[in-house]
Amino acid sequence: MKTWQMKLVSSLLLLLALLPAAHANKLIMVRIDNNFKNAMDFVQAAVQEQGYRITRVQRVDKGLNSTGHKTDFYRVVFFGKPEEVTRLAKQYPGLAPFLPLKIVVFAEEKDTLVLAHDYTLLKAEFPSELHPTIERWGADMREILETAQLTGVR
Amino acid sequence: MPNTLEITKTTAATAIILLGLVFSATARADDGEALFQQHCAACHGKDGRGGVGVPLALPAFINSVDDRYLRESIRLGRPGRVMPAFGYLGEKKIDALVDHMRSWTGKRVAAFPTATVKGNAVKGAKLYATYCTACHGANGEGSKGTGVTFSRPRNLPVLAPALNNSGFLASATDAMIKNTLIKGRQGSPMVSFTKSAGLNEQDINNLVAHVRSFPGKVRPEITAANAGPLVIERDSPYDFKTTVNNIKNALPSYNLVLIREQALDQGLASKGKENKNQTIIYSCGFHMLNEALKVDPRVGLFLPCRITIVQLADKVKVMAVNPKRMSALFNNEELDRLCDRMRQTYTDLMEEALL
Repeated sequence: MKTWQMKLVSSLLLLLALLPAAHANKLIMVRIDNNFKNAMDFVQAAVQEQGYRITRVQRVDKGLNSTGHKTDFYRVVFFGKPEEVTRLAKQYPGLAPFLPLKIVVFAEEKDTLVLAHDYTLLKAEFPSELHPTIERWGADMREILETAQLTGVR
Repeated sequence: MPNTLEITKTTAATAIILLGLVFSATARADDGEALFQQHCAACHGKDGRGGVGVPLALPAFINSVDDRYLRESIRLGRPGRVMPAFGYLGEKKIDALVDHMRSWTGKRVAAFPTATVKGNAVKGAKLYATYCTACHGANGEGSKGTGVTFSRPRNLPVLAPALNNSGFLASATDAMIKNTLIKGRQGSPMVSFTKSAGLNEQDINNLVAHVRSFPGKVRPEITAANAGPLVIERDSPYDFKTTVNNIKNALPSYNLVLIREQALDQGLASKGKENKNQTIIYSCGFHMLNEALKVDPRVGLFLPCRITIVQLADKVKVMAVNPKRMSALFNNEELDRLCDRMRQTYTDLMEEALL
């Protein structure tokens, strides 16, 4: 097959693969069939497996409980790629409020819910040269959540 | 240029690949359980016993609604009430989901007639005010607190549904609403109104007519035009250090507690080599957060409250993600209102700090 033909087939396949995603919900949430402590380990491992470094885990439940509000475990995991965060924050200051990336993890009885968004909201507001990065973040979020969910199956 | 034979071969190869994909998608569509785990279990629980979403497996629910109701509810969702529309899945997958849900009790439910129940909506409104408003709201808006989850103290895994929701009204037939009013839903606060309140069939018909008269609430789309830009930003008239201090000092006026101040690349850059010209100020208003979590347990995506300050070549910029724009992701009208409040808080705080 010649180059242009391969491109045509690849484009058609890509289009087909993206069709459901174009309609899919931009908020991604999975249920991990495991307790919070294990699920947090699975999420953090999946984040690192995807090539990111965890910068911080915000213990939201700690703040809530210490101010008299009852809640089960509720944490926010922040992460990024060192070179990418430094470069993007410098080149596109408007992107800085979204960096580092984050995933929310909270307990629901014996299970754990993990939540992220696919960052597509950003596409309309940032130049097209950033779109591949934004799309990769979305794909990485889905991959991280799916990996953590599969690891968590009891 | 390619010759005709090459084009034909390419087209044939493409068609074969596309057909293969279509067939494999069809095969996957049969697996209702896998689809349920993929699209529904996060909210409704892996066995459908509820969580962020309602307990679909409750026998008194699943055995009293017909396939049309389930199918349309999946397809249309509940605009503004968390449940997204899954119409993009297509008919086959939605049917497979319904089949899977039926497997929980193994019971098939006969389709309800689609004919209009004849009743007097005006008389129904009076009955509604007496018997239904307490749970379903004066205008059928449903009970407050869409942010149900077992992660927080909770009495029941159910919420009174929003009867005025366009998704509900398009999914439920008059006959199904009538049946629910007559039989109630065991295991939920919904009682039989013929037994508990002594209503007769005409009263029930009048109630159905009143519910059917609700206008069918649709959630307005959130866009840059009505919610502002994705990032709230202001140029500071002060130098970087003063700007950071002014923002921190303004927090208490808005019931926000400073959690920490950090370089944007903290934890990414080597220690001591962080960019000192990009700072994040994290804060939290725990009472407001608690209220927000009652409305939607997914608000963690906004947490903690955050203001980013960056030194550019010629100015200092102060920024925060606009919560009102972000709320577009959540399909939760109660949350939209809180996000608007938070947008105003960020705006006021920045203006006060940068006066």
